[in-house]
Amino acid sequence: MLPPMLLRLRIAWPERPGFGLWLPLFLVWLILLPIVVLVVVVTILVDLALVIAGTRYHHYTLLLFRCFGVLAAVRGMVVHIRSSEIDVDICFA
Amino acid sequence: MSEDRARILNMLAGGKITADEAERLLDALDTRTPEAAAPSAFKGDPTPLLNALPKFLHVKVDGEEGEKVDVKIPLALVRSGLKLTSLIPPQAMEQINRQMADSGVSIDFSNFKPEDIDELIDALREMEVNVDGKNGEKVRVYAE
Repeated sequence: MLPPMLLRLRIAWPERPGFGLWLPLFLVWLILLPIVVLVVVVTILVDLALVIAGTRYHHYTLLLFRCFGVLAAVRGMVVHIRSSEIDVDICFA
Repeated sequence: MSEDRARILNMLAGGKITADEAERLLDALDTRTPEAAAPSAFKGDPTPLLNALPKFLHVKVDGEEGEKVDVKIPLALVRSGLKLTSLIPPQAMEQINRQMADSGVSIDFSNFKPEDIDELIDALREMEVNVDGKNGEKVRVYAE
């Protein structure tokens, strides 16, 4: 399951022209990838240390992967807000 | 309760069959092995059936002054979020539960099991909430 690649944002006002933005989230993921790899290595080491120490909870790596799962599941989420003052559309694609 | 069992009981309630006939039919259902019943449930390509399952949870709010909020949440996100709770460290979970209890929500997330989560998601698919306020505000929550 892939994380959202694009974030479409549209904001409009009744009395003036609005704007739409296509944010390339895949570039953010590319930038964050080295940090994520580093964090995964650290969590694996922490979990190993916790297993050796005999601690009951040693699932930090799994927790991290589940967090990525939540991030990936955001794909497809859409938010529309309409009011007399502003219209906002947010779409994760 | 299975669909077949419910149908038999409805037939009995409607007077279409006698109690003896219903008993025999129920016995026949019980003796039917799961292996024999399973193939008939999954005959053919299951893709159309899977595509027909709801994938999103919709939350629609119509305010009293015409403002509208429409949020489409993937059910996969709900599932992932709930499954994440089973991995939260115990110390953090205690704090979360305490804060939730202070806010008036008495749900103990540490008791959530993966099978409960699947059951909860399945139940969400059939859930529909309609709230109509005094001043015309409406809230609808449903899966689609």
